[in-house]
Amino acid sequence: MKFISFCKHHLSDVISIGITLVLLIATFVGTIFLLPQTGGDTVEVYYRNKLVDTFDLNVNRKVTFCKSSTSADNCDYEGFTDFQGETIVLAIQDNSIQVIEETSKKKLCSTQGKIKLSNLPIVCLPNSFMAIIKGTADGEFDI
Amino acid sequence: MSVQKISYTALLTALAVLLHYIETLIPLPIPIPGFKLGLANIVGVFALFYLGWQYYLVTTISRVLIVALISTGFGTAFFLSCGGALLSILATIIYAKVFRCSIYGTSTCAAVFHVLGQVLMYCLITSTPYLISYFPVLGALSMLSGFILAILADILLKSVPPINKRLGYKR
Repeated sequence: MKFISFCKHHLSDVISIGITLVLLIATFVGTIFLLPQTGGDTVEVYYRNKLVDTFDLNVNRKVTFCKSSTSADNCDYEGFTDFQGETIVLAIQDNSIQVIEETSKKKLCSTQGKIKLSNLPIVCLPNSFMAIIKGTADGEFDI
Repeated sequence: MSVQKISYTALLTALAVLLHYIETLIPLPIPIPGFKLGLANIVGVFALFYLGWQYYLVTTISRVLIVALISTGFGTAFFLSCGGALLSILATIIYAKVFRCSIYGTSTCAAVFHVLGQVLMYCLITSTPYLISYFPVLGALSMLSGFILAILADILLKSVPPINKRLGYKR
């Protein structure tokens, strides 16, 4: 009864929250159709919005991205001057990607955990770094 | 604009900057990029319903600029803050003034638009639409945090005497 009374007194609130919820659901549905999340085939790594390299998702490996050549001994790629720390290590394992090591303060990349679906990026904005699984499954749209 | 209200605006802006800093010290276990509690928004919502929309506007814009100046710099984070702040300011004023929503409706809905502004700005900066995938989850979480912040701001509003009453004026 209290809830109904609250809704009657806050009708504009209820309508506004309802409209916003509809917007959220519409975005969710739109995302499913426009950016379908299926299993993928390749991993694309971007730095400063530019494609660094593409990797095979089916091949397990660890890729080390370094700020400079002196950042680590086993650098696969270097010259990522936007990095807050010295390195970012991306693991491609069991058809999933995960940042397993980073030397930045907040560990923004690694807290995002393991990603298995396509079109759902691992975003490390302060480092200008992004890794994403790209799929070529049937029915997927190219954006 | 009265001197008293301007003073309050300055005080609230400082408080918002402080809350923004405190928030960075709180670790969040949610593995979604960009999710924050938005503690500083309590101050914004409070300013809107206590002082008026003009003061809310000044408090929010000042907070974004001061945080960039003393902490994050005028890089990507600043543009993300700008995107979120601009869209949430617009939404807040529309929901509060046009739709006549209470503090609950305004804060809850504006929180979603804050996230939307940030996500759109991110997509614009990186020229990639992929982060939009996070919007439904981020939006739902921000609705929840917006509602909780509204409860807190409402408690504050009820416990603070009306601004003119403090000086002995009639409202």
